[in-house]
Amino acid sequence: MTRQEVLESTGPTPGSWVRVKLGAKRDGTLVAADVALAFESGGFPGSAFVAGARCALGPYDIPNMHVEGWDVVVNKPKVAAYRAPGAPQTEFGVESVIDELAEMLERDPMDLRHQNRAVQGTRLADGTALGVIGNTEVMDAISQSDHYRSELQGENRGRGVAMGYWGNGGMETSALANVNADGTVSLVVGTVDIGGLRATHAMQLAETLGLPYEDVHPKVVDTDSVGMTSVTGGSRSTFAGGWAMHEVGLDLRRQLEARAAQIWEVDAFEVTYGDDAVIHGPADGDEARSMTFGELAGQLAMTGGMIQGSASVRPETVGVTFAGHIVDVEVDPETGKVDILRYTAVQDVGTAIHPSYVEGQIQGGALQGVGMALTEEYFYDDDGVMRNSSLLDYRMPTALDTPMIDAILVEVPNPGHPYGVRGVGEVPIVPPLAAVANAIHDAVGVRMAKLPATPRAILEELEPDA
Amino acid sequence: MAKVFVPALMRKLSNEEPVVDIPGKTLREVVNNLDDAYPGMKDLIIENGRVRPGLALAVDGVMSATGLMAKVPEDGEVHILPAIGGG
Repeated sequence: MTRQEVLESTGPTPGSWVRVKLGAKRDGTLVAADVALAFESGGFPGSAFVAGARCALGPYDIPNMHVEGWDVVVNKPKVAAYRAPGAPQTEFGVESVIDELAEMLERDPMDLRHQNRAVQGTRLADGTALGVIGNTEVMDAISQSDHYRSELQGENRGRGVAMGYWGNGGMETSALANVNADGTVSLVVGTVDIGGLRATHAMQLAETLGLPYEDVHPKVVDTDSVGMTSVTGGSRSTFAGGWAMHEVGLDLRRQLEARAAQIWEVDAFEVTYGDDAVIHGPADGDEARSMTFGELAGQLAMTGGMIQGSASVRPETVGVTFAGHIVDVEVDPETGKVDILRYTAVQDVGTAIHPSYVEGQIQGGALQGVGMALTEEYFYDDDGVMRNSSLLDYRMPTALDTPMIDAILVEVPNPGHPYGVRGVGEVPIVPPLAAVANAIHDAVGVRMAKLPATPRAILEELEPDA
Repeated sequence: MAKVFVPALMRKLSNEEPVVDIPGKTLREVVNNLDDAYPGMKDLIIENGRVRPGLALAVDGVMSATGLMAKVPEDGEVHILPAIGGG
């Protein structure tokens, strides 16, 4: 497909309308929320309005909630799932109103959020109760961060914060692992690697087997070559992949114990695979019996053949995620241009299997969210034809548009995963819309009810009669 | 008895009750018993013997990966939810 065809036909995130009403006591306690949202779905139903509705109030414990979502068929091209589909739009609405409330009550915006934070046992708007979550820890990390505690000086400069929630997914992952004679392991996985999955899969299998990471060699194959494996999406891949690695590793450990027992001519239950990758058997007289993983691997071919472990999993124990972003902006009142001066993204990442890759996910998500906040927009003419279907006219932000996005990783392990993994890929796109809009308000006093906050949109707010 | 949380759009059938107590050790039993208590519920949840596309059933907040076979603990919570896709 050409770039023009991609932009015109593959579908953006839905154009959305959101109305948020919050009720609070004078002391800041939220008592009621009423959220209505309508998402464009193109010519056929199926926008992400359900996820948007479910996530809208995620970070907060509000006793009375009413959320109503509408999937609106329109004469425009299709829409599609786009990183935490539905959540950035609805949480932009909620986080903007929270910010307004903090201003009205003359409260610190994070203090007000903390007062009303969702905790373990808090029910979402759909009635389900949250499990072990890191929402409080994320809010604490924001409030205690150097960025939040620093003073922002200068005219037309402002600071905004916003929280975000996303539920994450599980779905199927299949994997095979072959023990090689040289003591290495060849790992075959069906999950397409778009963000470091080969590394995180190899690390989790190495952990299960007690081997150095370098001894596990991962390859990604199609599902003709390995069992059913779902998409790389839904923030599910490292979570479900980690479960698959754990199961593959345990399968290999059992088989290696059995082979060692065969070699030593003892019963398999007398053999133990240790977390240090040393296999121990019953003493032979006064002599302790043990073999390293590598020593046993070298004997496999002559003692019955090589060993392959396999697993196909569909784990249910997904860990949900919370994020909060802090952003400083400067608004040029003559041109309406917004410059981002400083950006910090805080997120509960469960266990960060590969911290720098996690930071990369956070930075990428934050930048995409900045695009939704400031520049990205589809223009349709009266005939429903897209008029900016090139990357010259469709303005995506690049690394040149933001300073370094600092990522603060908060680790509250998911108890439903052998290594504590929570998906990390989607939630970082959720807070930026409101965080940027709240910063613009702090800088120049205008409340952006519509995004993107392009220079033209900001000038129209600053000078409505011009 | 499981506590079944009835979504707003289905409450006409539950006499506007948001939460109803229904016996059953699996989701299949709970759905069948729910339909006995509030006729018409099953048709809204099940199609061709399976959970309708676009819906998901959760037990104690965990989306069932085994469909109607999922075990429901005594006093467990059952939620009938719209399915959500990721991006």
